[in-house]
Amino acid sequence: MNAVQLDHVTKTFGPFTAVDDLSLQVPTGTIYGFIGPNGSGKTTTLRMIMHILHPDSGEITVLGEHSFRAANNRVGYLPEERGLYKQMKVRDVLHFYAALKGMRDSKQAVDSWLERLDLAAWADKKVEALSKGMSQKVQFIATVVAKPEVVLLDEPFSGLDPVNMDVLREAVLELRRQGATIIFSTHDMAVAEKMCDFIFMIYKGRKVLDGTLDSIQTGYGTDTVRVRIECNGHSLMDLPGVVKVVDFGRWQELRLERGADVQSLLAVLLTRGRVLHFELGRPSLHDIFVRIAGVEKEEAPS
Amino acid sequence: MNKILVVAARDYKAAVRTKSFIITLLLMPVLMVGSGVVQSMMRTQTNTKDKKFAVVDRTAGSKIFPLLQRYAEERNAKEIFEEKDENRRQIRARFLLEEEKLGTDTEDAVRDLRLRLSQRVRDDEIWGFVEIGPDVLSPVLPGSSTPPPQGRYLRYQTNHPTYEEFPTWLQIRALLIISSLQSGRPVEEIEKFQPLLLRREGLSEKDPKTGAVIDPPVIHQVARFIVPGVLVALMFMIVMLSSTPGMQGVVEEKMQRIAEVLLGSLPPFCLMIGKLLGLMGVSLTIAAVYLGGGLWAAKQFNILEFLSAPVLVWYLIFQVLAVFMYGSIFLAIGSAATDIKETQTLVMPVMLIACIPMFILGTALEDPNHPLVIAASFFPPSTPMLMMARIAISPGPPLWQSLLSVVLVLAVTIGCVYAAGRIFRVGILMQGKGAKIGQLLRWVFRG
Repeated sequence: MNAVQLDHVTKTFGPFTAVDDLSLQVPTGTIYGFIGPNGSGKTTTLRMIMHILHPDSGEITVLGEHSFRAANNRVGYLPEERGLYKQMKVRDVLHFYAALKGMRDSKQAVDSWLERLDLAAWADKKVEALSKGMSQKVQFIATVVAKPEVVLLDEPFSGLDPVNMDVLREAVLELRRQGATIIFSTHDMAVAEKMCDFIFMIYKGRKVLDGTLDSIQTGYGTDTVRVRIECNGHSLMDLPGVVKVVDFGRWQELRLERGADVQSLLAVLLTRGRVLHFELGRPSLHDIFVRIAGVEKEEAPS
Repeated sequence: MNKILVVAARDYKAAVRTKSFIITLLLMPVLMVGSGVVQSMMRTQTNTKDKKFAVVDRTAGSKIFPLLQRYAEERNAKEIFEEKDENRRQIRARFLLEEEKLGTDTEDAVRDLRLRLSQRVRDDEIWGFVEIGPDVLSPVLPGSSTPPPQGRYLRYQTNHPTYEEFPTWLQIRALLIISSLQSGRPVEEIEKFQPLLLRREGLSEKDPKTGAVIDPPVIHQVARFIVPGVLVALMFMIVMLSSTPGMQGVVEEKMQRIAEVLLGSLPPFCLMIGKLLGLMGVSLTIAAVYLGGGLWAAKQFNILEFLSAPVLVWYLIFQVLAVFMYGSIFLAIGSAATDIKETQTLVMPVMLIACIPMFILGTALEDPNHPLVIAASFFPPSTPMLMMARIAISPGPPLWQSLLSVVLVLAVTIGCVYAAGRIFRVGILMQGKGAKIGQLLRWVFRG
């Protein structure tokens, strides 16, 4: 069963089409990653799933319900820009958000989450006294305290230090283990690769990728070589069969043209210098993202 | 419904638990009572420094000045003290009159003298000067077509125009002296004709049980004006005190993206209704505190009859409607603005309309059945305050007018809440730049 389903959903703002004929099925109990460049329609899609915005056409079903009221208490939403009352105490703001989700007695759940995310000592402090990372954790608790079955997280890890990121990631995975369906948007491709069962990419309002990481990468074929070579700064662009080089400094990522001879490439590389690493593989999600949304796409003939 | 109450409870607590709210709530009566006390104290702390006045008596034989001076001496001896026992304390200035003689009574000489005396006033030698015209004793016969002679005047020149005590005293005393000299009777005899005070009272009633005619209670003139005036001012103040922070709260929620989280839990219209109920709670809290204090004060000053139960019930009905009507508009404005500064531009026309009752209040207190007042009391934005003023002034408007005004305001309030809800729905998620008034109207009609 799908926790969330979008059928041919379109949303426009005046002349601008934010989401264009989007269909999507998010299976229950999975982690679904939304990726896409800024302004591509991720947040609009999340807001429509939350019924904060209404689609111009198409249909959205959340937990089998079409109506906002029916599923509303079973869905948690963490917006991209955090929304907490600065003058309220941490504990009070969490009880307030829990009550808004229909939770009558939230004391135990709030205390437990505060303890778990190492915020118990800050429970009676005002939100304005918290650091950015702490505020983000409080907002996360506010999203999940009422035990939602579907959790929508808009950029949940942005701006977090590695320690807090680990804490939050573990909390997200724990929610999934308990049966919740997680949908989150991110710009961090590494996080999406590691955490998501399914990845969905939206570009200029249209769906351009949707599936498991494996199926997406398979679609692009084995056309990427990761190389580490001591070659005195020579360019690798003139290598046979190489159409693009991404230089990471210590590493280079080469994209091969269809049917390129990898053995010949390696042979030429060996003549250029000492090859420390040579790995043939599928393109990373980052690379796929850039291929779709980066300069290459802009330059590609229509 | 439960979520609406959750929002209302949060907004209510957020508003009333702030230090600024408690300080404003407590400070307002302190300031009001304090200003009364200070004024009362100031009345007894007036400048008691002697005030000198020059008097030019142009009547034949200067008959008026000696009598005027006698009155001044009597006043200085008896009327300028707080207590009339041995420990009396001077609370008013003495009036010291000096006669200024005019050499030759010509117009030029008079003008020169006026200039010289004016200079003495400027030099602080005297407080002012009085000129008694040469013909003040000429009687003016009633119905006579002959104009009064030019010299029939009493003139006072000073550079302290706000000091009323001397001119008031002069007016009364000069009238007594002139009447005495005109009639040929001694001043003491004229003084016996004390003016009769008019007692203003309401209508007599018949006791339904005993059948006896009950005299109306004595009406305190001050209370007649103060009670309706205070009720209207209180309603205006409460509407502003509760609606303005509500509007600022919405802007804060927008700016800090709290609105998005809230809208993830309840629809915009419910959110706005929750906020309105929060405002209502705040306004009723303020009303409870001030009306409670007002009832206590009314009891102390024996004017409780002006705060009767029906008046209070009408007050609460109109206040609830006013808070809903203006509160919804203020919330809509908050939702359409992106920062506090923008709200000021949008709220200006609403404030102008809200102030209409305050402009008409004077006329309403003077004549509650004035056609303008009646018309304005049926103009819904003004109705709560002006109808309240009319109801608080006995005997009040006919019941049908009061009921009709409630129906009218209720209909407009529902319209305002509906329109505000449509603006709120769009505005609350709008970022970047704020909306113009024309855009707000488009949101109302087109969504």
